[in-house]
Amino acid sequence: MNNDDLLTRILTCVELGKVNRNTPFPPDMKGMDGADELTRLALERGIKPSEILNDALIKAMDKVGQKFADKKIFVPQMLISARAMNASMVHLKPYFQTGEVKRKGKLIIGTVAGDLHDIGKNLVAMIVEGAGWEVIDLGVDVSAQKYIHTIQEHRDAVVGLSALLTTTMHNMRTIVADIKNSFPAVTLMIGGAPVTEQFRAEIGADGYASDPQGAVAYLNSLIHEV
Amino acid sequence: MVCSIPSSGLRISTDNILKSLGVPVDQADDYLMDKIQELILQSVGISSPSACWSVFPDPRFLNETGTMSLEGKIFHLNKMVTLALSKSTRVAFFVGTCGDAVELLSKQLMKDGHSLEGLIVDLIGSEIAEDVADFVHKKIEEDMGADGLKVTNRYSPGYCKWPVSDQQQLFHLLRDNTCGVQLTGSSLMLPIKSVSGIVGIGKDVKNQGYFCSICDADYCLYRDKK
Repeated sequence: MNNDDLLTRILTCVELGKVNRNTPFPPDMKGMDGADELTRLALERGIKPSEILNDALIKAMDKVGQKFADKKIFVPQMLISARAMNASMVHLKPYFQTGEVKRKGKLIIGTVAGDLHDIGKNLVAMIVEGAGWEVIDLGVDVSAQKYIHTIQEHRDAVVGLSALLTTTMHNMRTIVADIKNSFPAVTLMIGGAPVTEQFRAEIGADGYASDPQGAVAYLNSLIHEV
Repeated sequence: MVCSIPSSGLRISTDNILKSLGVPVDQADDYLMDKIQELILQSVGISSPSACWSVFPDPRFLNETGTMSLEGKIFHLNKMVTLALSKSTRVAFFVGTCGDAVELLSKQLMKDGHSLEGLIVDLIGSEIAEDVADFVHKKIEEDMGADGLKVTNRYSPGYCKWPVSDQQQLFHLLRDNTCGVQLTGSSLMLPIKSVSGIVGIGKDVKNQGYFCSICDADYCLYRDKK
């Protein structure tokens, strides 16, 4: 197996959700090496971490996100793929810390104050991370102050706000206003089941995404601007 | 009134979990079905469902403002809810919960990197909470039926444009009769998998379904689903 084949196999493992040799999914890959073992092997062979990230992981998660947007796969498969991607990422994390591998940018993400629903936000965080972005996840019930405090430490980050309830999505309006008041230049993206493009325009946020792939597309469109 | 609900009485549907995961029933593979069934058994086994309710006489409804006056407090139910409750001569406030064990299991699974399993357990927790709400609604109906009274649909703060902040007053009136459920500063319930709400009671009320067709909550994610 040459290096290109190895990268393709890592890509396939992430796309199909093969985490490691011991995981039973997918059934037709039972007993085979997964993203974990193959990424370790790739690094041992001297393949650059940036190549593993760009040519295997990002490509794989892009395919996963596209299949999800096309309704060819559903949330469970996406989560299994994200788990396989994380198994690879464990091996790459040291290279992010040394700066040898660069990410596309940073996303600060959270579910807005008054709302404890985090499933949609977590899905977006996983897919965005898989697309090569650093994600700073503030969790749920996030106040404007907490966003502002985090932005102070990461001035170059894009900020994502999520809400599930119709009653809490209106908290986005206040939070967006408070953030823009403190940091007029920060880019704010919103999402969540009841949120729409029309609502984004009403509250003065910069971007809206209806699904994780939409969030990635929006973030990637900012790369020259961030 | 307080009652604990035997977990053997819970009916958690695999199809509902699939629906919440966004997976068409005919496209669920054996791996996913087995996982859901295994996690339902585990989650139901560790849950401790219970419900509490109190009945209050003489609610005063103002349909023009969408408010209800009760025990010296004003509840901002929204016009649609006051319209549905307006013939009630009593109201019951209820709180139900599945306990915190299911939520802790979900968080642990997520923390350990098992996002799919964590998500499925989270959804099972929501299903149990809905089951508890069905149970308490039926119980109130039975109790009131013994006095020749009928009940309305149930409504919860956070839905049908009834502000979540009214939870504070609802819990205040229930005093300690909340099955151990507590409110956060932003009026969210802990354990998370809990439900609260109101049921109208009277001789001339009826359970007539929800009014999505006349509701102006354009962004509601439950729109036309109930």
